Amino acid sequence: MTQPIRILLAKIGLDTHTIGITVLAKELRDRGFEVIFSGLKQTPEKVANAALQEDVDVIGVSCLSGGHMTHLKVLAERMRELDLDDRILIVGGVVPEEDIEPLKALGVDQVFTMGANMDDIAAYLRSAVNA
Amino acid sequence: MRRPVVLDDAWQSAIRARDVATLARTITAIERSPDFLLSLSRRIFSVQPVNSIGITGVPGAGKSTLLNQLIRHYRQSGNSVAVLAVDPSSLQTGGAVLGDRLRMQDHALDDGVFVRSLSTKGQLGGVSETTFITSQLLKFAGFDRIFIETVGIGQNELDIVRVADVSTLVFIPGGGDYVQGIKSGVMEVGDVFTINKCDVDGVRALEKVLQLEAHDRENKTGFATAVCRTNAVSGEGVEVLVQALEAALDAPQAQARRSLQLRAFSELLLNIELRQNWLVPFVQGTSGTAFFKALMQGEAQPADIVDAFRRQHHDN
Repeated sequence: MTQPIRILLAKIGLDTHTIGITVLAKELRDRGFEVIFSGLKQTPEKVANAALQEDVDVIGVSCLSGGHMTHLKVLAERMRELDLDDRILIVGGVVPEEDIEPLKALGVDQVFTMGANMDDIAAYLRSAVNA
Repeated sequence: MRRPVVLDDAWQSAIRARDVATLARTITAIERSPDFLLSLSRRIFSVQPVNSIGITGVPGAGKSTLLNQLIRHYRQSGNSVAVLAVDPSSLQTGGAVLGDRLRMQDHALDDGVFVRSLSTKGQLGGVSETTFITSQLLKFAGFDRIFIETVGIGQNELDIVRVADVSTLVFIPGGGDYVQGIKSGVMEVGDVFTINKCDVDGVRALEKVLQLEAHDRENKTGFATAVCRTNAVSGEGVEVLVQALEAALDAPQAQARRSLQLRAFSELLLNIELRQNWLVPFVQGTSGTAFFKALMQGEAQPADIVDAFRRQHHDN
């Protein structure tokens, strides 16, 4: 069996829209990923610590509250401090078009918004992790 | 791509200093390479028990939530704590959702707590093949107590006794009558019985069944099995459970279990060797492939695989 890709899924802050992250967890599971589901109301510091302990290949942050710029700035900084900036960082949820490039400038590798295709997400992660 | 983990002196210093990144990368390497597992085992082997505590029970019994409370108690008394939380992987895709960690959020920023989620990688005994060696690594890193949370179990997932020094079997009220309590299998796992969700109906009936088993064991072995009531959400009863677990760690059964663990681990290493270097190469090789083709075409029967295997190895 090939080695499964490990991905940490988290929601940061007071955002309780769980359907997207739950569907993603199940769909990635069915595509052979090991999904560490760390749940709601995380802080960027907790997410980075969990990623370090779990030695994940990917960190996925779901955000539907509009707080993505603030949360991802702190998370990307914390990842650099912990030497985790070689890991893939993705964001999903409600992200306005004009925020995508600024997120990438912060260190986010890819952004998936509403209507994103699960096979596309899985294919992106496989190629990004094995690049 | 990941840097390989080299088991040199710098590695050892980092592990002894409980460097989280080194520890985490080493655990990944154990999961990804049987040869690494073997080298690591040579490097860190010790006959000493590691003070590991298994937490096992049915899905949804509250094992992870109980661990959140246990960690708090051990941290308050100044102990460092590591947790290996095992959840099942899919037999079809190898994928998994590992969701124990989210119940232990209270300790997410505590340097004295290390939590790692493991998937079973297709193993059916309640833990993964790498669980035992990973618990040894955590001991080598200096953690005072190592908790191993199994997958949610049924009647027959007993591997926790081969990896943990002592275990508690977590029950919830409403799980059946006394006949369930006299069967072989899962009841043998618990050195301490825990009744979680002790605020719901049916606690007394369950407690009577467990006390009967506990008294019977005491008559036969001379050692008492504690029956604890807990509420993992409020924390009620957890202090008593900690005392029971510590008493079990000091009891002679825990010492006796060490030889069982070492034997089981040696057999596991041999199993991995046989699988990697004999079984898989045969099944995927020329005669294995030919056998499966013949089987599908109705020209061979299942028992013929044994003849094919013997033929290949007699010829060599």
